[in-house]
Amino acid sequence: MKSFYRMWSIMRVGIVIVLFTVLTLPSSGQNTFEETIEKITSDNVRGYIQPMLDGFGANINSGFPGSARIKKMGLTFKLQFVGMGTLIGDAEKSYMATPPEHIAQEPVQTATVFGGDGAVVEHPVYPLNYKFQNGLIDASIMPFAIPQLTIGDVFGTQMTIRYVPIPEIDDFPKVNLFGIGVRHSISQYLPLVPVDLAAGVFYQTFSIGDHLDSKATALTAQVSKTFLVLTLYGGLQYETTDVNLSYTYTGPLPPGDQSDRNVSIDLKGENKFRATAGVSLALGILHLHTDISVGKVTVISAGLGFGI
Amino acid sequence: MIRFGYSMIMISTLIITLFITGGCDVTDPTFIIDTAVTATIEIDEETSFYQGSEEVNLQELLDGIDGPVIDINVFNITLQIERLGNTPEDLSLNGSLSINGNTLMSLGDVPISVFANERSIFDDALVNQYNFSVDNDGLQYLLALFDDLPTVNVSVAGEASGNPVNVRVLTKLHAQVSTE
Repeated sequence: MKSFYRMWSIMRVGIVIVLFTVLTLPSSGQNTFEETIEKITSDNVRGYIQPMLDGFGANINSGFPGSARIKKMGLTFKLQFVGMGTLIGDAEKSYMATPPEHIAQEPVQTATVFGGDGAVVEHPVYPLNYKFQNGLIDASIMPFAIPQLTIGDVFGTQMTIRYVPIPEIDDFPKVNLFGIGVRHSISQYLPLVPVDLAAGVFYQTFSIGDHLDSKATALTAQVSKTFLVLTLYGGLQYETTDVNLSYTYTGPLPPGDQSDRNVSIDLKGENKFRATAGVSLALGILHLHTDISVGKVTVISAGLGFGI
Repeated sequence: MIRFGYSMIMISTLIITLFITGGCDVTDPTFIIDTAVTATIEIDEETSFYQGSEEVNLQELLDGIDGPVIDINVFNITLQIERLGNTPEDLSLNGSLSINGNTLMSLGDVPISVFANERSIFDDALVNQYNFSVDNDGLQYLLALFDDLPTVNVSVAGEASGNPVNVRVLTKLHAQVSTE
């Protein structure tokens, strides 16, 4: 029991380091991410952070066990630490936004959260200008990391569980992640097929502080072939990510706007389908894997696991 | 065996952390925050002649902003006129609004209903449809004050088309503050 809690403490430290780096924004001032969002109007927030949500959705729907080899009856107990990253390209660094009505109505290209400087639009007559938000993260990859536990095999079925509860730490908000998935062996019904086949479904919830709630689902079809300690695997996946961003807007309302200051924005990740290819290595109780997924965005993941 | 497991966990956590943080640099961000300050002038005159003023501290634009101010720019000025008491519904105003005595905007027989809701003074429809204008010199004077953000006197004066004149004039200055 003592050793378990020590292992858990070490893992928590790692996860806190990772999530803190990704989710908090260092500042010599004292504006936290949450306080900043509260001062941005809902129209700007949507386009500005969509790429981050797409990356988040792609990440959270990655890293599931890749090998389709599931015994009809047996013992699988594997704890994995999976790191994943969505590649950030030029398409994720800008979006088309419409300036305030009194300045101009032509959409302008401006920076997303991954972009550079925001666009500045000048009034055609008066000495006024409007600045769109600057990008905040200079990244070629949007990272994430998750621990997961896989257990089985019962009637050709394995279960995968993800659970990360992190309490509020100073300016870093509370984070909760929970995921559960089930994979079932198809090849057990097709003994003559020379590869392993499996199908799975995964469901996850993720929340940050009081502002962000998300749900993700994934349906997978997997194929793999094992050569001694080496397994080659691939698959197709359909996935959805739904995010609700809610906050109380504290900035000034646009002219004539009498709407409620309580803002609730529903956003959907734009990733729907992906194809995955990867390789895993089983060295006794040590398991390594890496794979790449290609869809609307490209995601790479790598994991280290312990168990049988 | 247990020590080996601990070592593996520590090493794997560090490897994963380095892997995923290596490709991501969080910039020293400059946030752009929308802010505003409002001058509210109550007018209650029995005759058709009206005037009123209020002192407004432009430093209020920085309320709630904790970090250092890198830049501040004005992107809009709005006007709203609320009809109060027995003020005729079809009342029109002739007059001007000034900042420290410098005319910012002029109204020539403009119905107060045009400004029943908050409206940008830079709206093209105001110039095209009504005898309304923004004084560029007055605007330049106002923008020059943003180097120091002093307290300014906002005043309105003129003659209405009828009486009594019981209105609330709200002038809101919308700005953006760039901060770290």
